Amino acid sequence: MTEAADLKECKLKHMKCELNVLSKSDGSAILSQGETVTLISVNGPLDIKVQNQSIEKCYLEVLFCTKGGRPSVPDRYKEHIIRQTCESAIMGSLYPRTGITVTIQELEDYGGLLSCAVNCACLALLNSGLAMRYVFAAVSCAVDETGNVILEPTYQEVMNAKARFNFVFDSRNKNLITGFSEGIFSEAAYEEALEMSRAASDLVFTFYRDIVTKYSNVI
Amino acid sequence: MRDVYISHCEKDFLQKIVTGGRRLDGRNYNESRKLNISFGSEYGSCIVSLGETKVLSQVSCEVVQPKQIRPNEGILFINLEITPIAGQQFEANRQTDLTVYLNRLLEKCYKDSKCIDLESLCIVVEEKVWSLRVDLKVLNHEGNLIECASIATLTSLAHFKRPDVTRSGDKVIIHTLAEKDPIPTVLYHYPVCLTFAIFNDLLISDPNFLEESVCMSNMDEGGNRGGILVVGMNQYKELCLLDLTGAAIDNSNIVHRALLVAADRCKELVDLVKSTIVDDDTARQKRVKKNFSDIITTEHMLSLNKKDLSICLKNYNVEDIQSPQDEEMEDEDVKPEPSKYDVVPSLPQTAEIVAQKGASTWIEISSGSEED
Repeated sequence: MTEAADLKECKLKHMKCELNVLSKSDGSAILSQGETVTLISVNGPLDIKVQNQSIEKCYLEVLFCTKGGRPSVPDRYKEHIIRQTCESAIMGSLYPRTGITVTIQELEDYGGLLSCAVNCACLALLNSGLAMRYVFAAVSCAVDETGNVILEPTYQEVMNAKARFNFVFDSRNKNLITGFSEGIFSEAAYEEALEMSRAASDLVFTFYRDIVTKYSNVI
Repeated sequence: MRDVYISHCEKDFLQKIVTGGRRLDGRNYNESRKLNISFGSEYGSCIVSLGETKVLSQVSCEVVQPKQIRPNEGILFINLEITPIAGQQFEANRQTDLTVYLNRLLEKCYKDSKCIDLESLCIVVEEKVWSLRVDLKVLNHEGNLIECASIATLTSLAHFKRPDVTRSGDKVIIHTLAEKDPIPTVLYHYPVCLTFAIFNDLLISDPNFLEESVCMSNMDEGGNRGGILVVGMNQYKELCLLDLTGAAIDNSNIVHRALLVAADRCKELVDLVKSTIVDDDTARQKRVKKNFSDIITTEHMLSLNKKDLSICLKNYNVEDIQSPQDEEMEDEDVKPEPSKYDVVPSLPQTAEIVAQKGASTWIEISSGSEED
């Protein structure tokens, strides 16, 4: 690998994953990245209401549930990001007039919840056996007060950060499929964060491969 | 909520084996599935799994104004939600009869039984009280939700600690966890709900999804009497709740029998809940970091909690088998197959399919690369 030196630099948080955690779902995964944990179930293709049916592709529904309290606007926003990401990856045209439900349950949030949820969604989709164009990996970055770009920031770093980024890459050409940022940052910082995340996404893809080879003998 | 249909074959078969003294998963009538409680990083968050049924519970608190009629009491609010994560038949953000029923039962069991000392949650009379909110999320619905949810509620309430408060004049200071040790919730007694499925005169504790649906559908078709009896009881064997859905019971003996079974089981459960909380507390005092990521293991490949796969045909009647040689023959036929399962008879007349232990070799190989 040409970027061997780069890869050494970017260290991601320790990832742990288990597939098939829920017996009633078609596909399910629980993923922890550092101390952030999410649980995702994928059901589908299912029969849905006529008003939601589309003759061209499947209808994708993403639901984000927080651990406690009522649903809020930021949750809807996360749902929207994950929905768009999954929609680009799933070959929806193979499942016309049906629906796919992706349900996300937050278990612990210590920074990087969105990227953890996206990665977990990818693993759950793989587990459910739906046809996909590519797999996707999300990496989060933050810009601290001095302007340094931090990869996979901790909870404290996220809280103090000036800007936060979430990038999602596909596995084929490492193209950016979702980019989501908040805060104030310079263009150079954005470029740096993007390249750093792109390099780091390799690690996530290797992790996916490990997990899937582990389970593929059984499934 | 979409309907879940059960075929007549399944129904008849289950009905037949239950009257014959057996259950699909090889349990006895009074046997419950394995209970497992794991705690999250915060106080008052836990996942309780009863067999494959899983419920996530989180307690949160905030300072609110008390109700006019009870100015010196805190507020307890219990909310259970079923999202599509529990099963594909459920729809998002919709109240179903099931959620209303479960919420009402939990409310009866924990609010109306007055197990929580609400007066201790008062900060300033008529002005400020703590409001505790228990959020329950059903993660997997494999039957007996109420028992699992009630254990989750009880565990998270007993585990929860609220921030300490000091009053100086009119001001109320809420201390963070770092400043002052948090205060645990006071529980007078520990009630737990248990479920019994009634098949005519038979009583089955901890029914799974299939047993629950079959015993309820018996009632629709007439002829058979079936229903679900929920018993709430505390560790002192005091009855807190009794609820029957399904056909009316014409035999007082059934309730009596259920209560006797429930009394022992409740004591057992409460002791278990208490001991896990004590264990967790001592671990936390030693600054062991707890997190839900601890529940992720690579020990099992399928979603079954206990073993990789177990089809238990316990107490298989020998008379039903024509000749014992046939059974042995079958076993021998299975073994030489290049299958990943071994058929191990752990008990006489029992066939259990256990995943080969050899499967763990490739787990170790890949777990090394995971730490990158």
